[in-house]
Amino acid sequence: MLFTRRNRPLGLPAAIPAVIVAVAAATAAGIGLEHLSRPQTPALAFILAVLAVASIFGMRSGVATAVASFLAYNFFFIEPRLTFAVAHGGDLVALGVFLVVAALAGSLAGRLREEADRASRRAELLEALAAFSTRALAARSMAEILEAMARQAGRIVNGAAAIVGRRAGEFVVEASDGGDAEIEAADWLTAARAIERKAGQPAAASGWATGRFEARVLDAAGEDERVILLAPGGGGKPVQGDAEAPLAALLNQYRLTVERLSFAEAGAKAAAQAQEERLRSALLSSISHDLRTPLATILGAVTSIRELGEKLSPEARADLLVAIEEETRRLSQFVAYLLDMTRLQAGLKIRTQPVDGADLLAAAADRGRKFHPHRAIVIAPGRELPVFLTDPALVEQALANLIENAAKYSARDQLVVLSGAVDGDAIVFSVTDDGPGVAAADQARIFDKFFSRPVEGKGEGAAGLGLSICSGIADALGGEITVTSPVADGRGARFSLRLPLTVDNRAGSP
Amino acid sequence: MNTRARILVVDDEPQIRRFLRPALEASGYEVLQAESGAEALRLMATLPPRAMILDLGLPDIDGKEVIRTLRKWSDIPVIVLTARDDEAEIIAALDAGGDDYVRKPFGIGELLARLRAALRGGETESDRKPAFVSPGRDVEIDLAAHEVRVRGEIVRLTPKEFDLLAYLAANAGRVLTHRMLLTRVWGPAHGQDSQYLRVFIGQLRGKIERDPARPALIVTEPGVGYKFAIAENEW
Repeated sequence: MLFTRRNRPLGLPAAIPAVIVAVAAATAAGIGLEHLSRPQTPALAFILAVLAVASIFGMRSGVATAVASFLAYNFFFIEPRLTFAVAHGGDLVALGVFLVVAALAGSLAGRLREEADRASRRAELLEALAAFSTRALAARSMAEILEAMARQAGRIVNGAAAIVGRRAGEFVVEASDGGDAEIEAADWLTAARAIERKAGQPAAASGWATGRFEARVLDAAGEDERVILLAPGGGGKPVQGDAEAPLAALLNQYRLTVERLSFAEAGAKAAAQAQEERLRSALLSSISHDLRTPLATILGAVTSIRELGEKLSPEARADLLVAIEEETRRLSQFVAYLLDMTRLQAGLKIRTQPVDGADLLAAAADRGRKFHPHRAIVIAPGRELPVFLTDPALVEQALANLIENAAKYSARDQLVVLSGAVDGDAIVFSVTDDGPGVAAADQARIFDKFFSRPVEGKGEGAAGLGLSICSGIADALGGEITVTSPVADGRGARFSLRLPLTVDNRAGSP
Repeated sequence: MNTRARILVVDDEPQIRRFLRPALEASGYEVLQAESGAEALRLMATLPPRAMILDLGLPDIDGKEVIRTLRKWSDIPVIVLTARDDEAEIIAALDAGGDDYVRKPFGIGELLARLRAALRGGETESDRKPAFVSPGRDVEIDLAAHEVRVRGEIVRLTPKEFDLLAYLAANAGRVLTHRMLLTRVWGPAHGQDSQYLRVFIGQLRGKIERDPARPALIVTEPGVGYKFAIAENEW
């Protein structure tokens, strides 16, 4: 289908059979009609033949038909018949007029046809270019651009097109116009050769003589190495003159599009960098604030006691001492978090060993009770937990942070419940509190570094590191951490640490 | 002191207020507290304090804005607390009308000393005599006669040096930023020429300090400005 479409008027040689047939038909019609109507009728039949051929095959065929018609008319219809001689002077004039009329008609009709062809061809080329522009503008990926490029190039050369690139040394077809383009060995060679030559070969590299395709370099710069293979319709290599200009325009547009895309990528990268920069400076000021406030309190309280000792009331002095203790704890926990964070970021060493899930829960609960002696931290009764492979220190740390978080965001007399369960090929540990819960809007950000929520009735929350460390640990262990809130009656939050249930095969499964 | 001077402490950190209140009360002040800029301005209007200790990082209004608003109707001394390393922030706060600053973390002694100096500076400002500044001290300045005596001896100063010294002494106890000094003495066009200032301060110290290498009268606030020290035994 691709190669059979009529397009440009065929040349004169291709039209010769048509000329012969048309003139013969006109002669036959003339002979048949001569006796039925006026003697001028055969001449009109010939004019008709000339117009028909010219309107199909173009100007030159039209003129050729006119000449042949002139000879046939003379031969068959002008006395003496069956010779080219002319008996009457009047007939000579008539013949002359006939020749001029026929030639004029042929050339006019032919030119009209050729103009119409050219116009429709131009329209099609423009349409192909416009189609590429539209697609390229909307394109968000290189693949889309290549696809549109191949399709429209195929239209322009009125044949087949394919884009060949070199990826890691291998030549691959990255896009084709979806036609029947069969790329043969010779065409691969054409593509390879064009890619090797790369820049400086914008014009046609007409390719391996036996191949169907010729190649144009698409991307010469940078890592991208691509050529577009073109097989013009009708097998006429190289690309014909009237397709050359639109093809050049298409290539140009392609390059602009690729440039735009790379600018867009660079822009996105720059935006991401700026975002990271902002985050970093926010981090820094947050760390600075979280370190300085306890320090300022400790220093202020200590110097107050030292310098104003006698003047302070005993209650005030006692409260300052409590403040010093609290702030020192806060500071030391913050420092511990920062160290954990740094370790996680530096890519900590994971030391896996077989551990009993129940032991992990018990250890984490013990640790939580040590920090919060007045809190009820309980382990939900449940089925036995299996022995699995993990890094117990990291899991315990993550659970301890979750307990810390639960204790902080719930009231003193509320339970903190730990539980464990097997879910398919995962083991899930969860810590549930009965606090006010986590607002839906905060749930997405709660594991972000330095995301902190105010504690009910206590103002400022924590440093916002504990949960982000949990999430880092979960990542490192190939698991994930999620939050569910509310848990029941519109209150509470449940944090679940989901870890892969890897069983130590060497020790035999439990 | 007949009545206890009322001090307004503005800081959103409860822990900071927690030690400031007993320390200030033990030092003989009456303490008012505010957690936000809006509350501070309200208290300023209803229970006018003698001085304000203001944290720059407030949750609602920026500390500088609080000073700017306050300065439209009050000239009580304002001591700025800042947890930031940002010198520009301190300078902006002083330019807005702050008198002095203390960086967190700080010892209570430093804050109390600055508070005393600021309160005394406030007194001298209000009933300042046009003729003499700090009579009876190392430096006596006769504004009318353009005459300066250092430890009893007349010292010859250039007009610019005199202006500089007079401005510093008139604001004794208050940190004057480079820009404030430059625009006051050299005019607004010279607001950035802190090199000038360093040279003149150096000359001035050479003429009035006992030991110009260790200045006791004109104190440098690194990166921020200069302060004419108020004589104080504890210091």
